[in-house]
Amino acid sequence: MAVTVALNYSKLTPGKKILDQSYVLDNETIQKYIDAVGGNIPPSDETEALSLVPPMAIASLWLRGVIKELEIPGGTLHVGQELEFTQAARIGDRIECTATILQNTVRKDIRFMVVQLKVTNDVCQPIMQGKGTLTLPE
Amino acid sequence: MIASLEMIKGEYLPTIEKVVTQLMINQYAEASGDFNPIHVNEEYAKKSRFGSTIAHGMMIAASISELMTMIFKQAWLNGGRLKIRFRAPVFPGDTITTVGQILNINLLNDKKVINCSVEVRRQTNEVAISGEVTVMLNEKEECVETFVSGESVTIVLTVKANNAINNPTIGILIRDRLGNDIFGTNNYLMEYSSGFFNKGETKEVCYTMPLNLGVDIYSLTVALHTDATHIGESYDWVNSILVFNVIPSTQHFFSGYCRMEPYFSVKSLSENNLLQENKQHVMH
Repeated sequence: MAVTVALNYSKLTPGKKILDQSYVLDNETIQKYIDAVGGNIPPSDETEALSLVPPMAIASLWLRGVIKELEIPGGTLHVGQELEFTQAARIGDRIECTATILQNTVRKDIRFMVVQLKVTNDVCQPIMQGKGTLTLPE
Repeated sequence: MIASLEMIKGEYLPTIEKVVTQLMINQYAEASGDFNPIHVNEEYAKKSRFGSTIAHGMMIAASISELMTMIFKQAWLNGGRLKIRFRAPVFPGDTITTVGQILNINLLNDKKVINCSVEVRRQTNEVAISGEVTVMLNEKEECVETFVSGESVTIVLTVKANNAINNPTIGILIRDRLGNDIFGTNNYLMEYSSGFFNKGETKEVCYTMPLNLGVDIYSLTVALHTDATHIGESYDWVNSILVFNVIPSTQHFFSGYCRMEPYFSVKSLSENNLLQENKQHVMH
């Protein structure tokens, strides 16, 4: 019988890498994202536009990894996000997402976690970086 | 065709409005892998402090990036910065409006740095997301194909003379999507000289003007000839060298093709109403 051990958030000290995940930006995943948010890249150049991935789709992939690795409990809120886009990614690109704990504090029964985001392409060129702030119920 | 130099501090950006549905939230959960019950489990969410499911913050934030992509295109994708706070939940059925305003435009080395405030508001005017974005544009400006009605634009034509020619007429013509001429002019009609072109010489010719056009798709045609029209001696003529969009501005929506910007006034012509009219003037 498998035993699930709950993640001990207090042990996630600043500097701890919690995610190092590779994704391929396949058409199906990106299209799902575009369908959900109802937006797209404007067709300045139809061919070019079709292959570009909305940067927020990549951010949401990163967040997916963080949610999974942190076993985010119900009641968690995403309260802030900073992002800096360095270069556009294209359908078919392989990206590397990392997440590192920057801050982890508890105040008034709420855990505040600041997680650094870095996304690079398969030749280690930066695509985006930033940080997200999550509050988790204690 | 270039834009943006004329972007000014305080100017409002165009807006994006959309209705958020539970279906979209469920689709976003699928796409992002975020199945937090506060987003997708109505029974769970009813017992929460929100009393209902709420949309993912990043799903709503996507409309900010969508707006920035629409305006700044590659400059946003290759160098945009976003700093936001999720301030209030967005519920299924809400209509959200994404708005922005230019806070500052600064020059940094060869780049123009544009700072904008952004907000996503619910239909109640409650701010769901607020924050700032920064975009860096090359000082040489961005070649774009989508413009806000009324925005100042510059059409830049590069003209190379294969033979020496004196004062050629260099013209532009904007047509609507049906091919009707909307506006055309040239330096002959404007009584400007384009000067003497030596054999092999290249010159840059610019037309700068407010793009006072209605929302639609247009094409740009350019021509090089003598005198007022190309009927005399025509050197070059390129139809639809650029197809571009005009999108609504945040101020004074109008119908039709031309932004005429009339002055509006009202006065009563009835004697009984003179007193009332005077009062109204005082109020103004």
